[in-house]
Amino acid sequence: MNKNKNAQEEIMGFGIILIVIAVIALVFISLSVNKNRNVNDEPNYEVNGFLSALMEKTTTCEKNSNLLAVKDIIFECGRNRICANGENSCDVLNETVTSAMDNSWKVENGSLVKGYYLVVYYEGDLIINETRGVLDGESRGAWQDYAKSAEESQIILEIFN
Amino acid sequence: MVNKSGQIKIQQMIFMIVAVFILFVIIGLIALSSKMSNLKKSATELERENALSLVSKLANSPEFYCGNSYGNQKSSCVDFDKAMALKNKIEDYEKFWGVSNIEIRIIPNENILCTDDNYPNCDTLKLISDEITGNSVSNFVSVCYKESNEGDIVNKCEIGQIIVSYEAVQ
Repeated sequence: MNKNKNAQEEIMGFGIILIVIAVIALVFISLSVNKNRNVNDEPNYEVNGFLSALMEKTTTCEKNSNLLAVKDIIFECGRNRICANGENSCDVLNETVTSAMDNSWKVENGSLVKGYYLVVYYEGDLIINETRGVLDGESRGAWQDYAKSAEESQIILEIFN
Repeated sequence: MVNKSGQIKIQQMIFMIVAVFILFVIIGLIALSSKMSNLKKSATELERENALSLVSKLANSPEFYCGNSYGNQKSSCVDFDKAMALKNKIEDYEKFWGVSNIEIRIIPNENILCTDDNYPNCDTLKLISDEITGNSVSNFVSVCYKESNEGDIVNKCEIGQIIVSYEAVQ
């Protein structure tokens, strides 16, 4: 009877030790899991940076002896204006946006970018719609608004990885 | 006989204490070694975070920022002329940003390295070193410069990339 009680006590002690070890292990695991940061938490700075840079890009469209930036030519295109050097503002805008997208976000086999779409609105009307590749899977996007006098334009870009 | 049984019990207890002690030492060693291996990773991660935060704000720092030199104020705008002048004084700034290299590229890029002789007919400016080593992070910026056009000076802005390189901790 006494022997049995001793054995029970030993088993209980061993069980307590196992529980203590398990608790310590759990604390370690939970601490290390909390420290692992999610890569997707990083801000969407690259797409935003690209949109800002695209808006400031100088085009070949001239007005008052100045070369217009993309953010200005959007309004010229919206108003169906012709540049001082005879070019159609919408053609210039289209060419500039297409070449900028092709050179900056290469959609190829094996590349990180699987597809993208970029749309430009002037007063709610779609004036540019640039789409490439597969628009599926994880994506990061950004949009910017511009106002000139009482007119408004909006540009939206979404990149699919 | 009773003494012998007591001795065995004490022996058992000692064995148990030694076994538990060894178990804790083993667990401690495993935890320590994993912590040590994570330390290198954390150091590299810190370098990356520094580079990431730098790449986001570098274009707006006084050493690069366009200010009013190209018409209205632009955000994330790099003055390529200023950056070129900075390259000639880079020995004073080498340790300033705490990164191994800073590179400015104009897109589309044909990798024509900017020197005093070919500027502005180039598209890649490597500030600290001509060699790119280690890991890098990049961000898009507006790269502006002044260009001579039939005797007139015109402001031009292109899409560019600013690339910050950092060394991975070995």
